[in-house]
Amino acid sequence: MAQTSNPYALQTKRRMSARDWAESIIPVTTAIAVSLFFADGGAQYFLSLDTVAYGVGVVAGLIGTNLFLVMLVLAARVPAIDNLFGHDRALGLHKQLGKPVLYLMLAHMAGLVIDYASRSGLDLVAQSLVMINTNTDMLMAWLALGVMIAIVVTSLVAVRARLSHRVWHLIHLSAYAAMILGIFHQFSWSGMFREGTVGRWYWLALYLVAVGSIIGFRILIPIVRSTRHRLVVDRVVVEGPAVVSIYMRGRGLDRVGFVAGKFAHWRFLAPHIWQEAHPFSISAVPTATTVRITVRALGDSTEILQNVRPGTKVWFEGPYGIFTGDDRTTNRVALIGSGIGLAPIRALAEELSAAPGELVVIGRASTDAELFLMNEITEIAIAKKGTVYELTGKRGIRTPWLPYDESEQGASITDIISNPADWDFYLCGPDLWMGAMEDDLRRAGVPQLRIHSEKFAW
Amino acid sequence: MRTPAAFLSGMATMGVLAGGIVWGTGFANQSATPTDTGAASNGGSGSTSKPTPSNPATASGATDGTFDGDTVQTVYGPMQVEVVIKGGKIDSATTLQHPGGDGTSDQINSQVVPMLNGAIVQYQTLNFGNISRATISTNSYKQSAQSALDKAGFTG
Repeated sequence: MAQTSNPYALQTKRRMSARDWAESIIPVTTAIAVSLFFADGGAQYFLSLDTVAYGVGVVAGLIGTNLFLVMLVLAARVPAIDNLFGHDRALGLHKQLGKPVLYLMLAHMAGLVIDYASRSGLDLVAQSLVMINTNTDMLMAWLALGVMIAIVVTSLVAVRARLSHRVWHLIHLSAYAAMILGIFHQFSWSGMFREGTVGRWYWLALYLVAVGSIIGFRILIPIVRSTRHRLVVDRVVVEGPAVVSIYMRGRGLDRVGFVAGKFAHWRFLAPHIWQEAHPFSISAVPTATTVRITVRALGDSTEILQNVRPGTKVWFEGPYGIFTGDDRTTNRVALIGSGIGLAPIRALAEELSAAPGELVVIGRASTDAELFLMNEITEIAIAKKGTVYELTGKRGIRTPWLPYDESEQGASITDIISNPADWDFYLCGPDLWMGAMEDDLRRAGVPQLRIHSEKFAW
Repeated sequence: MRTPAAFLSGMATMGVLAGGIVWGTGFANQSATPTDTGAASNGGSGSTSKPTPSNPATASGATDGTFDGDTVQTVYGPMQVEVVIKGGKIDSATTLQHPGGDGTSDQINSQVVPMLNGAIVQYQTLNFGNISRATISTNSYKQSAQSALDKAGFTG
């Protein structure tokens, strides 16, 4: 089948290029940190066994701190990072870096203590005590390491399961304490960052960028946006069993960047639920004065939200996510949602442009009643001359994303779309279901670039 | 990251590291490494190289005499340098006070201080590279020596 020219080809190429550049920042900045040490004569320590511990210790500390600052930036919800990679992928890398950073810091401490001890003739414990007692900067550095150990230990899955989310989060936030405690010795004890060096300014600048990102994008911008756009609950409409659409009104909502597929963390200022902000995708294209989310009752807070009162103020952080038209790679698009995953699918159906025959929407749920917003979706899709499929029933075994009957008959995505590799797929639903769907798509030859999944906490 | 980009990033990373190494070893700021033998009587083993200045300066109009620098407090203790100027040039230097008393400081200062005293006379400037792992000693030495040179009107 001949390929029609792809209007999204340029967009795709640019995004891939931008991603490559962004990803290269990590190894290159790490190399700069180590290179500053080498430029200060640090390479020589690796030439002799007597001094190699020192060299290793310093390099480990430099790489570890650089990666630590990268972790902060990854968690800061920087718009450029969110637009290129998505919030969840950024957080995924953040999580992966935690243990390596800790090991590097331990190596840093070990290398330096071993080196100092070998020169002073003290045993390791005595040498450690001498260092800690020398001045406050070094004492704080040791405390910083202790805090980091505590954070990583409490983040280990086994331990984390026993802690409530709030307790875990508080412990996690003490990473900032570790950062502050550790910063002083880097400037007062190191040779490479002494007064007058270029390295000193560079290192300070890195800290400012990392901390500035957190303060700016994670704290200030949400406050400014919530204040400026003044969201308030307008009305609540029941969409199905334990599911409501919450319509909010505000001002200037078309200028915040709420495009179809994006989500935000919403904080409803009502009793019992104001303490936490919850992520929900928008379920319709917003106007200048209205925005809509659709929420399923899956826990305490979402239960309360089913009956939220009109007039309730709402603060928000966002919009976030790359589950949007910006990530599109081709003109044919399949939108597939399961259960409440149909909420962002509904918004995408409305916003994404598609020629006749180039839009497919698939709704999956255990029962008809759980195909939320399906009426709206169907109306929109049909108006665009697309095709709609409703797949209801309990889960299949052979092909778990499909209902039982279709699955056991050996059906797969190719029975719905004969040339899936030429289509963009937007998937939203429970993690396991999406995993099964992605397996099927990959088996059918769909390139990873064309599979867009929105993962949230379900 | 796509393969060509990964390759280029790798090259860039190697380039940055290589650049640092070349700058650090090929340039004037060579650093000395104090050895770690416990007993001073055995004589030092291992290589030490003297600090070399970044731009050797020429002496200029300074009053002859002996000048005591300010006492610089460091986390290890006080450092105070005395400089003797003769014929407008730095003739000798010595420390009136230097940190000591704990194992590490004594080690460092028994080797570093003589090196610094020698360097300042050889190079007639304080622009020589810091002695690694003795940064606090070197910095405080330079600070105190600078104040002594200022008193002498030495601008070399």
